[in-house]
Amino acid sequence: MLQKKNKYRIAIPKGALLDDSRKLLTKANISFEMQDRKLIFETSQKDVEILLVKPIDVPVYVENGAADVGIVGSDVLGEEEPKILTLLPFSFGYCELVVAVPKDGNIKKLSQIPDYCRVATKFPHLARRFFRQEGVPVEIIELNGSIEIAPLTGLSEVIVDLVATGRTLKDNGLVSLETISKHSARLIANRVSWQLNHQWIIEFMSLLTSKEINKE
Amino acid sequence: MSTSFSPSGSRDLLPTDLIKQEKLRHILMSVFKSWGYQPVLPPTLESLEALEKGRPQFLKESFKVIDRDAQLSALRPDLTLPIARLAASRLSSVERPLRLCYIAKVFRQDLHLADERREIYQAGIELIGSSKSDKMFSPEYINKANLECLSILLEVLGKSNIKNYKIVLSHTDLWKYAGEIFHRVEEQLDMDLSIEFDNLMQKGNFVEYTKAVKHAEERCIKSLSQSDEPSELKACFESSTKESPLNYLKKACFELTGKPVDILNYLDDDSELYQELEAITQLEKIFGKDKFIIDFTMRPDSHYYTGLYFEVVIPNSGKAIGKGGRYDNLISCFGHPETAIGFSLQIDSLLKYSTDEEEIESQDSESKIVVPTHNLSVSSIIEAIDQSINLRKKHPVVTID
Repeated sequence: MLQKKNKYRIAIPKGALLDDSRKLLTKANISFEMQDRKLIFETSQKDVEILLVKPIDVPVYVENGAADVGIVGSDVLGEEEPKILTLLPFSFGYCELVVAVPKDGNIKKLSQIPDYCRVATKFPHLARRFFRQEGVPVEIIELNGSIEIAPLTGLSEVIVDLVATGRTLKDNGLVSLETISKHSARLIANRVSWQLNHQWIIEFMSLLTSKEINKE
Repeated sequence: MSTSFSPSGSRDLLPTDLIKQEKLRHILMSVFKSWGYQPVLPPTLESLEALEKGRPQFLKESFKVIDRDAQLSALRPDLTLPIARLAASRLSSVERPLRLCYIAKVFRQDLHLADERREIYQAGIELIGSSKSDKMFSPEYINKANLECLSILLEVLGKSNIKNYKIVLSHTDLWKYAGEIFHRVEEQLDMDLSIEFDNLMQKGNFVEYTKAVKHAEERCIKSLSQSDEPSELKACFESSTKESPLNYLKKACFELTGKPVDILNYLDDDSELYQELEAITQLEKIFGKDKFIIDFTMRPDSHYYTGLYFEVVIPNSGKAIGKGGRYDNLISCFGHPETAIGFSLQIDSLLKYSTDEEEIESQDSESKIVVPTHNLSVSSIIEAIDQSINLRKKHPVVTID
């Protein structure tokens, strides 16, 4: 049945964007105590609650109206193409989606990738679209994490993965061949929430943006 | 996959579901009929070519069927389109306006949201043409049809016990009113920017939209700098020191949503857009306050809409439960140019959000009469059937045990 909801809900992602997201919200006067195992938090503002979910699930909550707004990387939005509103870009969560190969392997540039080579990735749609544009037929192997070990174990010849600093690639003997796209965090909203809770979302946005400018 | 369950996006309806559904269908149909609308039912299969003509996306979204002559058909993904075809063909010489309604299923395979279905039960109306065929495209007649259509929608929502709904209004002509400077920039660049901008708004990508406006502005400045000739546009870009003259467009996606009183402020009182939307808000005098919201950033995803477009939303539902609008060019696709407006509501969503709590099963068990058969001999079964037929004259439900 329909879950009665009288509060504004913000979905934020676990993992790499969590700290920056919390910082951002604190500056918009929304703070909350993290507790073990709890995933839904009351905040310093009575009418706002926070959902803590996997990055890939942020747009799912927002799209279905279970959360009004959310913070998520544009990589997830590119991959999932959810029907949501993308309201604001943020200056954190910068990363690049790259094509990478073993440093000591035969492939030194993109054009050397052989036809039907295996590509391990967490981003099957974006990877497929990229190789299609390049005109290279490839076989996509969809993984959920630790992509870097796929070439080391013979699972694939190539990977497509997110890179923030490049450390993980380097540590696993990989090198980036090409950047597919650049990404950073976004504020997203449910279309119906945008229509019905417009005033709140606009105020929330103006707090987030004004603080961002002050920070710089 | 287990074969004991229906495929994803479909579901079995049990007697209690159907009793509720039937009750709602009755309410909807009686409202439609009371406004003079008559039911029609197009076939389940529609030629893919006809569907594609009205809305190219149907090609992807519909279930396709290849018939014996290798002709492509599709399970109808929509009812407006087949009804438009009907209006232009078999009903073309029937007196106008045509007032048609339907309660029927559509089939789509584009599942996105958690409770989206492949088989969607829809109820709706189409108001086609006008008694004054020479004046039907005039604003007065457009208004008249808009108001009739929305009145029926409001009445239907009220009678289905839907509470707190809002009708969100938008309009395809938004870019026509985007301002003198916008049109000058389009001229300078010799491009129809509104298509690009509209598309980004439709996708809800305000970040890319803002970038696109900025990009257009940069191209415009570059193009202006290449000619030495002074122009008004050039002067405009040069004189504004603080803000770019297109700044209002960048902000547009954040400022075009809200209560009609606030949003209509942005429009010129004399404009057709203002008058068309203002007329609609007058319906609140009859149906109660706060029924409407304007959200110009909500762009229809069907190209067949022309002019007014609206969706029905419910707080916390996360999605629209119905939509509609004008489609003044669609019927001419089938060779019969005339104005039209209509809406469709999803019956499953109406049932989900209806606050009608009336108990349903009781009527069943209370008034049910059972005729016993004494043994399994043919004569006693025949006797019981005969008896039950008599009892049914007085009692609504009689079963044989």
